Parts: sequence; structure tokens; C-alpha cells
Amino acid sequence: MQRYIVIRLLQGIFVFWGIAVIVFFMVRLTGDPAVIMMPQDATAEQVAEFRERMGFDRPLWVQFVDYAGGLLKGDFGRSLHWNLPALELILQRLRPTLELAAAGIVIAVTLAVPLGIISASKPGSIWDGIAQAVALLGQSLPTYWIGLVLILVLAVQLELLPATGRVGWRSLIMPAMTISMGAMGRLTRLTRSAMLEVLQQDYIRTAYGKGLRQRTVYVRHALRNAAIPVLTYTGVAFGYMLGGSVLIETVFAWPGVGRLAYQAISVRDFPLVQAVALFMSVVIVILNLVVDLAYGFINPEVRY
Amino acid sequence: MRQYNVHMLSLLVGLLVMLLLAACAGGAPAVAPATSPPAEVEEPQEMATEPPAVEPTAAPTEEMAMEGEAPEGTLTVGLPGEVNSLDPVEGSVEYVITIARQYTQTPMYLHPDGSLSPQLAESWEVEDDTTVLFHLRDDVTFTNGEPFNADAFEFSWHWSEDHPNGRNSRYYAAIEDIEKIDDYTVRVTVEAPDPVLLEAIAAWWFMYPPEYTAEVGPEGFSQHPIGTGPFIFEEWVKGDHITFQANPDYYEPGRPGVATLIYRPIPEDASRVAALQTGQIDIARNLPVEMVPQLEDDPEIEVYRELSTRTYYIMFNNLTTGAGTPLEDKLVRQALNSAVDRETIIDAILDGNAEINNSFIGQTQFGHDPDLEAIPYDPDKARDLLAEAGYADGFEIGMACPSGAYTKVREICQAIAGYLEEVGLTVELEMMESTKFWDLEATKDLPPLYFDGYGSRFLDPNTQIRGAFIPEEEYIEGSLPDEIVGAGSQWASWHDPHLIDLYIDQAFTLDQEHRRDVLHEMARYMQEEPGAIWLWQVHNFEGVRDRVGNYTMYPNDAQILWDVTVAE
Repeated sequence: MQRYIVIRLLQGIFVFWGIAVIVFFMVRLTGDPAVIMMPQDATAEQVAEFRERMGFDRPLWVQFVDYAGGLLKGDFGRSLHWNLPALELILQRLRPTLELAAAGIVIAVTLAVPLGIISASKPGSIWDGIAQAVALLGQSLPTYWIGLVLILVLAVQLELLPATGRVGWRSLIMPAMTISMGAMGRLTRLTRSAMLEVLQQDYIRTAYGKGLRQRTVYVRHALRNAAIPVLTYTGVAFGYMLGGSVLIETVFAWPGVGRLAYQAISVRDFPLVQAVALFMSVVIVILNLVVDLAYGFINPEVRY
Repeated sequence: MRQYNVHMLSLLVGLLVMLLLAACAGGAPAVAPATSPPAEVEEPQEMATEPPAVEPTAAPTEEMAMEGEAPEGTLTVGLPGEVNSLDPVEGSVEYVITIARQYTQTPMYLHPDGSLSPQLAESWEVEDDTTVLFHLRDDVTFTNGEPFNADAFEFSWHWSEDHPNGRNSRYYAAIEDIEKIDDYTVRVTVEAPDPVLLEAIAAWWFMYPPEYTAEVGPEGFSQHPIGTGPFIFEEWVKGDHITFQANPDYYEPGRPGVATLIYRPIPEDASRVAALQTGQIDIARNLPVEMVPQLEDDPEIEVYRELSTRTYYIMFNNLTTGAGTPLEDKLVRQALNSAVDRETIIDAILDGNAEINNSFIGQTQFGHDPDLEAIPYDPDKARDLLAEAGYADGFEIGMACPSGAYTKVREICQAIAGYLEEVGLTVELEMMESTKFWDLEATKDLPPLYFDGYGSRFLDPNTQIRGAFIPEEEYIEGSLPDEIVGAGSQWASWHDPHLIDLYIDQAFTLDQEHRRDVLHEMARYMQEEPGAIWLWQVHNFEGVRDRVGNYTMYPNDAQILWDVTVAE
């Protein structure tokens, strides 16, 4: 297994490098940062001077060598907009994003798995219908809209929760609910279909034949075998949430990585866009590895 | 093995729960109690419209300070954007200046109408066209204890002009010299007479504590600034909030009015409005026009409105893509100005929240001519003018608009294109993502017609006229007059030597009467030889909860909250 982990991490370095190259050249296709960063009443001369000071007048390959050299030394570059190290800015925003993603994934899993099981246990029943409807709504309603409706109902009308911001645990509830919706819907459907498939297997009949109660059969035999696709998707969804949701962070004024990335893109803060992309690629590579390793614990047939 | 797996599963669940717990542990920002000495509430200072006529303000005495009340309560302001720094010279968005104004100060206090009164300078004398003498207050210290004096004044100029990341250094660049006469007197000499100099000094010349600033450097100062103002910077949690506390040793009694001041970025308009309605914030800046009716019905909220300094137009891109098109004919440009029904657009799309402009010089700006009528909507006249110019059957023309950059851009542009088609033109309208639009605008690669707006940090049109109508030299034949060499703007797509002469005639003199006459003439000339289809200025809106007292809204993005109070 150690060999497997080492190989995966080496692969991760290639992914990392590929992303570094792609992002570097892609952000430079978006245009000239000096035009956006300098105030409107700056003269053309002052804009040119800024461009030169930031090194954007140099040939692209020189800029790339400079950048790649920095990366090798662990230097993610310096944000143009904030004039601070890019990594420092990301780390400051990481905790709110972690909070939101963790709460979101917990809500999604704790709702979706029971819903999926109920739904699979009596396919075609009214409970199945309700669970499927909930899943469909979760997947199809735009998060932006859900967020605003939650604010209007829970904060403005009922005055139960703070409308925006990150002010104590109560302010986490609405954004976490919102961010969990899509994953919840998908996970419910995945759990349902995986359970339906497993419940038809011979070993389930055998388990019933041994006289085990339904609950035991479901938890010990069926759910564990149905867990692999669910776990895979949970990992993917968690990765997405960690990438930060621009819309949700914007609607709730949540100070996370998503809004930072969005802002970096909108002001053409090249070093920061690059740093966010690289940072998130590291997170996703590691997360995928953890999910893959978890398979082995759930299903002993999986070997590395 | 089964046992083992169950353990692993519970471990995973446990991990998730721990993550959640960790997530919930994040606390609210701590707000320190106010520890200010009592201070007397002062009458608003007398305004000085003419710079030399300035009364020194009496220094507060111990006795006066003992009689008043301590600042109380917390004022929270919701901004639509985040700031990149707390140092005004680094600010790439207006909110940096807005926020900086609360902790740092300039020699003069800038009132919403553009008039000035003494602040760090007790008085000033305009000695001649290029020199101003400042008499500084001798009783002011920075909040770290450093004295404010002529040395700090001089240091601040060098700091701002030479700042390695200074995006606003140009406001200092025109200064030739600062001469220290004594500890509290300085003489500022500029290279050329500048009619906006005093306003620029009041709006921009923030004072830095020399020792501290030199010690912490640009990065240190941008993260933890120090000034002379009524508020002291406390904390900046990026993307979340910026907190200030009242300065207990502030030199003007009665200021500030609140103990704690918090700025919060809330980018989504609907959320900012919800935060205002629920009392999470007391003031919401930059409300979108469609949210105004909803807030006007709320008994606890007052909606403030002011005409913005930004003036909107459809520019003729005559330096490049417009060259060789019918737009070169002034009759055609006049026709296009007559073809657009501005009033109907304002009523139908902007809910009436805009005022029609008679030219580029806006109604909020110095030199605006209130007696000059805007070009009226007259489609018949437009058709006649087009026929006279030889385009009775119209012509095809391209037009671009920056999608999402301003309120209702898309609807406005579609309406304008519709009016132009009504008089015979065929308009190919292109909505562009705004950053791409501005790139193309800077390189003059937009179509012959484009929609944009130009604002000003001053209530004087001087910088706006330069920014929109003084072209870069590489795009014109010959060169610019000596006075403005190198002053070309990347946003100008127009070259009219007579307009430039008029600009120069008023840009380098302090004779305001003369400037006013020239600007009036310029507005008339802009109707005769239009460089754009002149449109309008729109209202800005702010929502303020009724517990807020003494609040004043500024026409530009400025905001001074020193006197604002809150009731519990």
C-alpha cells in the first residue's frame, strides 16, 4: 500500500505541474491587468509604468521561468491586487471554506443516506416518491436562489438567523444548508440505486435466510456494499465545496476561498489566480487519494 | 476484519463530526468596550468656500473635553466590495479611500458640496498661481504618539509619491517642492497652476506618521495603518470585516460619534439589503435602483439619494474604427444626439432615477451651465440632418456595451440602438464582458459607437475631460500642445484640437470665473461638435437605518463618519 501511495503522490506532482503550466498561460490570455488595476483617471504613461514595474512587459517565457523557479522554491507568488504573498491570502480564507464544506458535507450525507435507504427499501411507495422529489429539488434548484430565499424567510421574515457574514455558528447554518443541497440530491439518488442493486444479490437472501433482522441486513450487508459509489461521490462533492462556492460565498458574504478566487479573476490578479488553482489542485489530489484508500477499509476485496 | 471495518467507519464519521465542531467554534468578532473620555458635541464647522478666507478652529481644552459625552454604540457599514489595502495610496478601489478617511486625515476637510474647511491645517494661503502656504495645527499627534508637524507633512508627500505600489501617486506627482518654513508651516510649490489642487489635497493628501511608516514599510502599513483621525484601526479580517475604535485622545471634541465602527463587505445586493433590513448593518452603500421601492416602504430605513459624478454617453470611436465612417460628419453626430429619447429611457428603464446632461460636463460638477438646454429628442430633425449629410437611407454601424458594468446596461443599450434604427441606421449591437470591453476600449478596438461612463473623485470636471477627450499621442497625427504632453488618456478615442485648446485654457489657471466661462463655452461646443451622444447622470442610493444620526451622503464615493451617531 505504501508503494501505491508513493506512486499516487508522484502522479499528483505531474498533475500539479500540468495545472501550473496551463493556468499560467490561460490567465494571460484574459488580457492586460494594468488596464483594470490602475484607476480610471491614470494617464497612459502611468499605466505603462505600472505594467513595467509589475514585469508584464517582459517576454512570456521569461515570466514563466521566473514563476516556475519560484514554485520550485515553494513560492506561490505575490498578489498584485493585495500586494501580499498569495499563499498567505489563501490560508486566511481557508478556515471559513473548511467550515462551510465540512458542515455542508455532513448535512448532505446525514440527509441523503437515510433518504436513499428508505427510498430503496420500498421502491414505488409514497416514501420513495417523497425522497426522490426531495433529491430532485436539491439537485435542480439553483443554489443562488435557495440562498436568497433562505435569507428572506429565516433572516428577514422570521428573524431566526443572521442574514449574512460569519458571526458565530448560527451564521453557518444557512450557507451550509445551501451548499449541501446539490450533493444531497445526488447522494440520495446514488444511495438508492446502489442499495436497490445490492438488495437483489444472493448474499442478501442468504442473510435473510439466516434469520437476521432487516436492520442488520441493511446496515451490515447491504449498506457496506453500496457505500463505494456513495463514498466516491462524497469525496468529489467535498472537493467541490473546498474549492469554494463563489455564488454561496457571495450571497452570504462568507469570507472563503471562492470569493477570493473570483475577485482575483475579476481584477486579473494573475499570481493569485495561479496560486488558488494550484492550491486547490493539491487539495483535490490528496482528497482523491484519501477516498481511494478508504475503499480498502470498506471493501476488503479492494487491494492496492 | 468486520470489526475493524466498523471501527474505520465510525472513525470516518467521527472525523466529520470533529470537522463540523471545529467549524462551529469560529466566534463572533470581539468588540472592545469604548474607553473614550467624555467629549462635547461640537457644532458643524463653518464651511470655507474660498480657500484663503479661513478661520482657525479653536483647539479643544481639557475643560471642554470634560463636559461632553463619550462616543457610544457600534456603527456597521455594508460595502459592495472588498478593499485591497488600508493605505489610501495603494487603493485600487474607491472603498479604500472611503475606509481610510475614518482613521487618517488631510490638511482640509472636504464637504459634500466640494467646499473646504480647516482640518490638519489651521489655515492656508494661496500665495500665487503655483504656491500654497499651509499653517498646520500644533496640537495634533498620531495615534501612536508621534507628533504631526511639517516634517510629517513632507514625509507623507515623499511616501505617497515614491510608494512602490502606489496607484494614486499621481495626485502628488505634480508637486515640485515642499518647503518647511518652521515646524508648523510649509510651502507647497506645484509645477503648473492646478485649479483642482486644493480639492485634491483635501481629498488625497493623507498624513503618515514618519517613524512608524518607515519602520513597518509599505506592506506593514497597508495591513495596520495609523493616522491622526477620530478612529483607530483595530482589526482587518479579509473578506469579513474591518474594525475601528474611537480615538480617546482625539483633538476635536465631540468626535467621533460612535465607539466602534465596522465595515463589512457584502457583495450581493439582495443580501446587503437583507442585512440592512435585519439590522446587521446600519448603512448599506450602493443600493441597486430596483431595490429602492422595497426599502422606501420600510419604516425603519431611510433611503438617501445623490446624483453621481459619473456621466454617461455613447462615445464615437473616431480615432480608429469610427474613422472613415459617416460619424466623421458633425451633422451625423448631431443627428444621433437628436435621435435618442433620453427621457423615455430614464423613465422606463431607470425608474426616473437619472438626470439628462446637456454635454459631458455633469450637473454635479463645477462649470456646469444650467441655462444650456440638453439636445432635445427630435427624430424628424435627426432624419433631416442625416439627409442633409447625404445619409437619407441611413447606414450600418457597430456599437458595443460593457455587460453588467453599470445599472441596466443591456436594456439601455438595446433601447438606444432601437432609437438609432428608428431614424434609419442599422445598428449591430454587441454586449461584451466588461473587462474585455475595457481592454478593447484602452486599445481603441471597440466598434465606432460604445456606451460608457466617466466619474470623478472631484466635483470639478477637469480630470474627466482630460480622461475622456485628451487622446494618447500615438493615435493622433502630430503632437499634443506642450502643456499636456504625456497627459493623454487611454480612454480617449476622440481628437478635436479646438476642444483641447478649450481644455488647456481652463486647466492651468486658478481664475474660477474664467474657468466657468470656458467650461460653459465648451458645453455649447460639445453640442455643436459632439464627441459622443450625451446621455445622463444617475442617482446613487444608500440605505440608512433610523437609529443612525448626523449622516451625510456624498455625491462621489467619499464618506466621512466622524460625526455619525447611533441610538440604541
